[in-house]
Amino acid sequence: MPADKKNPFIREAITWRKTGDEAVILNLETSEYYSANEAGTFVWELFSAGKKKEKIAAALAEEYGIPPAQAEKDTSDFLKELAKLKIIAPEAVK
Amino acid sequence: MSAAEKKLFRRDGEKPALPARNKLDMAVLKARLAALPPGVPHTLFLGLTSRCNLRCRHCKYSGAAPVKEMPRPLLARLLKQAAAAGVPRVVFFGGEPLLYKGLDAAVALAAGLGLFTELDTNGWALTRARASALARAGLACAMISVHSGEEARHDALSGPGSFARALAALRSARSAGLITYVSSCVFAGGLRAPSLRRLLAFARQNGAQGARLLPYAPPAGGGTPPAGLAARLRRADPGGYAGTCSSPGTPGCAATRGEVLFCAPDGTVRSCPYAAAALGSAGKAPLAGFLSRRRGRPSSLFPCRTVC
Repeated sequence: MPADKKNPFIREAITWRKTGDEAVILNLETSEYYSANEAGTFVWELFSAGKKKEKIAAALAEEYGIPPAQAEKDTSDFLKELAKLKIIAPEAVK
Repeated sequence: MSAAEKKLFRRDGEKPALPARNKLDMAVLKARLAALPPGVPHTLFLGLTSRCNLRCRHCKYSGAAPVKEMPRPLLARLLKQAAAAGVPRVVFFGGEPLLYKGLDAAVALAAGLGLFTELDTNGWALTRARASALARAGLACAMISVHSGEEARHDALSGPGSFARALAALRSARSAGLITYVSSCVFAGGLRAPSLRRLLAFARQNGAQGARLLPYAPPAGGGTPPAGLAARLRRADPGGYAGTCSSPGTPGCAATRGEVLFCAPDGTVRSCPYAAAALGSAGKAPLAGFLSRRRGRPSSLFPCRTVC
C-alpha cells in the first residue's frame, strides 16, 4: 500500500501504484484493477494525498490550462466514477 | 492413476492466492500489457551471463563455449531503453543469472524504471536470504526451472540434488514474497498427458502461479514442435494454468509475433533466447531499432528450429 495513502475516503481494500504517467488502482478484495490516464492520475494523486475536491480542481485547471468550471466538472466526474467503482467512499464526492 | 493424483488433478485451473504486493505487481503488469504500444514486445529477456552452476544435458550453455558477461553499462542502457520504449517486463536470464555480480543493482534499476522484473533461475543458489534481498531490490517474480514432476527424471537432466534445490528455491521465493512460476523444458517423452499433469500438479502443490513450458529446441534443430506442445497442453491443462510460446490457432510463436526480444551477454539480439539467428548487436544499435524492424513481420517459421 502506498505510504502516502492519507485520504480516509479511500476504501481499505484499495491499493495503487504509479507507473509512468498512469496510476493503476487495485481492489484487493475483488482483484479488479483500473488504470487512470495522465489527468486522472493527477487527480488521483492529489486525492490520495488528502486534498479536497476544490483544491484538486484548482490544481487541475492550473496544470492543464483549462477553465476552472471545466476542471471542477472533470474532477467531480472522476471522483463520482471512483465512488461508483467502490474505490472511494461516496461522501468524498459531496 | 492413483487416488492422490486424481485429487491433485481436480485443481486444474486454480491458482494460489497472491499477497497484496504481488497482486498489485500483476495488476500493473496487466494494465501495461493492455496498453502495449504496437510493435513493442511484452518481454525483454536479458542474458546476463553464459556461466551456469549446473550442467543440464539439454542446455546449450553446458558445453565449452567461452564465458560471456553482459557489461554493466550495456545492461543499464538496455533497461533504460526498454522502459522508454514501453516494454513492460524484463526477464533476467542466463546462463544462471544469480551468478551475475550486478544482479541486485540491475533489479533495482529495472524496478525503479517501472519494469516488471522476473528472474529465470535453476534455483540452486536462490536461498531464502538471496530471495529476500532480491525482493527488497524490487524483484517481482521468480521462474524456477523444474523439468519434470519426478525428482529422478529432473536430476537425470540437471544433476544430482538439483530437484531438491529447485523445490527449496520455490519455497524461498514464496516466503520472500515473490510471485513464482515453474519453468520447464519439455522433451518428446514429456509430451504425454500424465507427464504434463504430474509437472503441473507439482507446480500447484508448491504454490506456483503457473507453469511456463518450453519445447526443447536442440542447437541442431528438430526437437518438439512448439505448436505440438501447445495442442497437447490445451488437452492436458484446459484451465490454462500453464502456457507456452505458441498457442493453437495463432500462427507462429511469441518470437515471430514480435512479443519477445532477447539480448545475449555479448549484446547479440535475437528474437527469443532460443532463436538460432541473430538480429544484430545491441552494442552497436539502440534497442528501438530492433523493435521497429520487427513490426508487422509475423512468420510461421519457428526461430528456434530454423536458421534463417
